[in-house]
Amino acid sequence: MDEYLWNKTGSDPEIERIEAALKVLAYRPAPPPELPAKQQKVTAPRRSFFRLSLSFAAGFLALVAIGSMWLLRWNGQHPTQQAAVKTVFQTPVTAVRTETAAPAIAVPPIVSPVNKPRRRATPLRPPVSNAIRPQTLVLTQEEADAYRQLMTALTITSTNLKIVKDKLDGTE
Amino acid sequence: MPDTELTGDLFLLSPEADVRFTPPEAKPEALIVERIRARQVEAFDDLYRMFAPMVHGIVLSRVPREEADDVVQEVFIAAYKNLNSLRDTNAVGPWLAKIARNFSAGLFRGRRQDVELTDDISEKRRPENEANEILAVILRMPLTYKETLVLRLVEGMTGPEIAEQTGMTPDSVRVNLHRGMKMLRRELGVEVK
Repeated sequence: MDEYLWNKTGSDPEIERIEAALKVLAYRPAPPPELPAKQQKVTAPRRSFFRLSLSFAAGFLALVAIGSMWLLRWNGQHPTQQAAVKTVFQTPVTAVRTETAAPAIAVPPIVSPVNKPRRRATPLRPPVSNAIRPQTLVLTQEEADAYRQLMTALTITSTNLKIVKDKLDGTE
Repeated sequence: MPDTELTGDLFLLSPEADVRFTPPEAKPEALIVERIRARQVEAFDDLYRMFAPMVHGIVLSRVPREEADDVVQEVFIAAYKNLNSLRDTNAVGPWLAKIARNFSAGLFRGRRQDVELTDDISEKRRPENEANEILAVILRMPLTYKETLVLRLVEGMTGPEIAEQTGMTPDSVRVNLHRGMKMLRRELGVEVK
């Protein structure tokens, strides 16, 4: 029974009866469809190079986006970090946390594996209270323009990636 | 290792050696695709004749019967337009099957309720002929079973042919056929041997 179902060897009267009944629904040879009048350029695929380029572009943009988000959210705890942030963002005057300025970065002493101390329970950087955390970031005109350009670039890239995906899936 | 294994079939270093690099054997459908890419549009007819039953079976398991023929034509037009996205020309069958599945799903995604309504009506009115009755039973099965059963029982393809053309593994096809047929017999009230 299974062999007839698999490769039509032997016989199975019941399956043959079902086949005969369903035969009227089978594909009936018909002429092939009219192809588009304007024949598209049908060439060998260059998909791998195209995909690679797209992957690099998407990865680069993702890195830029992540970096921007990180910079937007980052509040420098250390004076040197604050100085670095200051070059990018102009924070309100109230956001300068002189009272919480952390000491210079402490370099842990080199210890032998035997005397290795347990991991510190308290973080190196004390948590920042909401009172001193700036609630809003004030961007300069130049930074705001850069942010808008970044968002526009991400939108365009996302749209192009979707078009490519649809083409690869054959749904477009 | 002979030098020719490194140089492929160029025989730059050892022309007298008889070891040649043999590329994967091109299937007949791969040659047809190459002809289409070479602007031989008539080769598209060969591709259509070769795979139309398989595409019809996949479409029939997803869309109403009266619309299946039109959808098959649309699938082949979409395939022709996107032929440059086909990387492995030996896998044109599975590629067409994927287009047929996506096309049918996208085309009738918004009409799912209508399809269910049609099934309900068909149950109440009782199909006019045996073919429609059996097909209605098959279409109520899980998708994997009904697609394989339609290809086998309606289109008359064998299990190996289904596996070859759709890209499914022979084991998957065998399991789908066995379980689907068991379910069909039970639904039709036929005693399982």
